Amino acid sequence: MRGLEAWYGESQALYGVDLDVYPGETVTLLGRNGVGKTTTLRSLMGIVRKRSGTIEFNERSILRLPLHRVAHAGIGFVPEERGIFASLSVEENLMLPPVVAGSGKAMSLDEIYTLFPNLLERRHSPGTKLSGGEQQMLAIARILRTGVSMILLDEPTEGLAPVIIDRIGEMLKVLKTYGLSVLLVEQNFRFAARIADHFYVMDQGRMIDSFAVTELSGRRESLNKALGV
Amino acid sequence: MTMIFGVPLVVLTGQLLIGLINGSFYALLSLGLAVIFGLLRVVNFAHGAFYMLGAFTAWMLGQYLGLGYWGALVLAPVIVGLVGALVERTMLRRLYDLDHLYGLLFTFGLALLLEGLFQHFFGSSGKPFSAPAEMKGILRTDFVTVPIYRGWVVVASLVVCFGTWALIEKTKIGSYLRAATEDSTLVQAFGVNVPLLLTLTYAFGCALAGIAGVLAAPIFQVSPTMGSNMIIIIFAVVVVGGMGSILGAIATGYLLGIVEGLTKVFYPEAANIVIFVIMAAVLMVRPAGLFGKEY
Repeated sequence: MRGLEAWYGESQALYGVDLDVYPGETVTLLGRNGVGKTTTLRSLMGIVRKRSGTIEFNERSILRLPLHRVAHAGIGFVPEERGIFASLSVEENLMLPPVVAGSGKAMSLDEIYTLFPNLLERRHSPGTKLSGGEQQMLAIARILRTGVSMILLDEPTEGLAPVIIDRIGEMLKVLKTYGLSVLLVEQNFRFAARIADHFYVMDQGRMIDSFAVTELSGRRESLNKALGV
Repeated sequence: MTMIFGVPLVVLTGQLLIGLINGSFYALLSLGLAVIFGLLRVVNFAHGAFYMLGAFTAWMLGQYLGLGYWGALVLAPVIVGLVGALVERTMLRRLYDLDHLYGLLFTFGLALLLEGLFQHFFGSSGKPFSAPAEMKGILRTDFVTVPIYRGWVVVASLVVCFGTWALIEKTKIGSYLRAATEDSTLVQAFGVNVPLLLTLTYAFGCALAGIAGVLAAPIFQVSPTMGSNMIIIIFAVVVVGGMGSILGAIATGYLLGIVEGLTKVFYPEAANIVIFVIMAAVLMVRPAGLFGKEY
């Protein structure tokens, strides 16, 4: 992603954002509330339409694709608030996103139920009757079933208990072994530090810093300042 | 003669049946409105016009192509659905990003246009359309007398209504529709072709109105104004049932038809306004409607 700018109506939200995610890598986007992290994900996905710059995925420009084609290019989206549908059962929620062609890595329903036994048990309940943690699992599981090669995760730990956050962290490590690329937006720095390979820091719609996990220890101080912890 | 509450049983069941038949049309039409509103957030004022279009298409198919009732019952709704798809693709689609009021104004204008066109070419007087020969008889029992065709209307409407309900609640495409009704952007981000889903939904809702139109053709006359007479009642039904609830729309349609029929027996003077009185009462107690969700 190069020089991405995005607008909500007349007001500009992103200013020349550059970002790289290499295959199989987990990248975390850090920053305070309202600096443009979610907007970056939503612009990348094509949900925010008013944007300019370059977005390439597998050497193919996806900026001009209609929203429903972006998923078929191989990108899955797990929104903030999880986006579980109340009028659909757990299994219908799971089956909703179409499997994307030509990836070959799509998990079958059986594999998903083996990985998430809770979902199997409650597959006929309405999606929103699950606990917050289970809903987050469902939101991630339904993307795994599509066989995309990259997942955009928006604040998966928000509002969840520490023990559930640990489980989601474990799950993301499992995803890594499947070779999936993950772009994670996260406020919970300690959670992100455990799973990410690379970090980007945003402030006021701009990218202000970028470093690998190996450089993390030397940066604690400047990070704390940027994140206002 | 058996009497109930001082009313002969045959009169009572007769009015009940008329109520049920009117209710069949109310249910079919408000169902289509509810499906369209649920996904597109468009209050489809042209719904009555599509109902009229269904009846006229059936009449024209018979008049110009010699097609019988059964052929028309299949073909006319398909044609109405295609017209609906064309309207959505070329015009309605452009209004989604604007205030919902524009969708309402556009479909209202479309209704006037269609009605005007048909009045211009076919005149205001109704065209006769006869029921198929095999349904011309009357079924008589001790407690009810039913023209067979009217019985068929009730059965057909029940089948179509519950078929639609099953399509929405039990199938894959129905799950797309329900999910997109909640959050269409997210469903599209998952890779579902939501613009196509919108077209199909509008076409399907219009086709339902077309079915109602063909079913109505042998009972009422086929006339350009048949839709505008109906649409006001349908909106009252939808307000009572609550926008966006599928079963609610079906149940309220039949219920209000029956209430209207019974009012004709016990207090005929109020029969024409009873639905609107109920609408006012429901609006005061439950503004979202009997089965509605708050939006």
